[in-house]
Amino acid sequence: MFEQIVKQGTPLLLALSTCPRCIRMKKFLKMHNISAEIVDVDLLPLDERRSVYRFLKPFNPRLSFPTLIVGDSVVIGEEYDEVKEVLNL
Amino acid sequence: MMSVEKYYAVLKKYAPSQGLILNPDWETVKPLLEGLLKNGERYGIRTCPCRMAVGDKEKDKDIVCPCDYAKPDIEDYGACFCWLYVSEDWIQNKIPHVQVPERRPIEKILDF
Repeated sequence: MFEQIVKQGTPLLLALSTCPRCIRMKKFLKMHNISAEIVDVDLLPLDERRSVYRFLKPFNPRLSFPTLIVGDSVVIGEEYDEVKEVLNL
Repeated sequence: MMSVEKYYAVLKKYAPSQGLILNPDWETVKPLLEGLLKNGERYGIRTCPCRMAVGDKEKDKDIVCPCDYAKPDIEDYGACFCWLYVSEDWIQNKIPHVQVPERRPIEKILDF
């Protein structure tokens, strides 16, 4: 589903449109001019949400949001120190 | 749709009756209330803004706010999963404000 994007090293943010942590994470990425693929999973149809979960599981077994994937690095939750590290900011 | 200020006033009265304390930090609470009201609009029930409801009242009922996990989370971490409801110790900064791990069972998350 997102294998190509992740392989290219493009940051992928899996989020929920109603989640304040996700909203702040989107702002953070924007503020740092990070062009990321951002997906509001709750706005997808149910079958696509299932495939997102299948894709997300190995990265974040608890399937929580936000989850930021950069290559094979993963940041779970609103952890900006970790985000800075994986994005070399 | 109800305003966040009106909804906050409602919750301010409701919380004590449930043995809950609203997070006093408006910056944290406001977007949570917006998310709850949005979920109320689209699902007919105000489900947790930090979790994904599926639009099935039976399957989503455990994450209708206050969710089934709020009290144990407040017990263990001083806050519910999305920090809407907190403990007295949390408010007085006697305990660290940490990200609460997801307590909802995987089977429920995947049940749709």
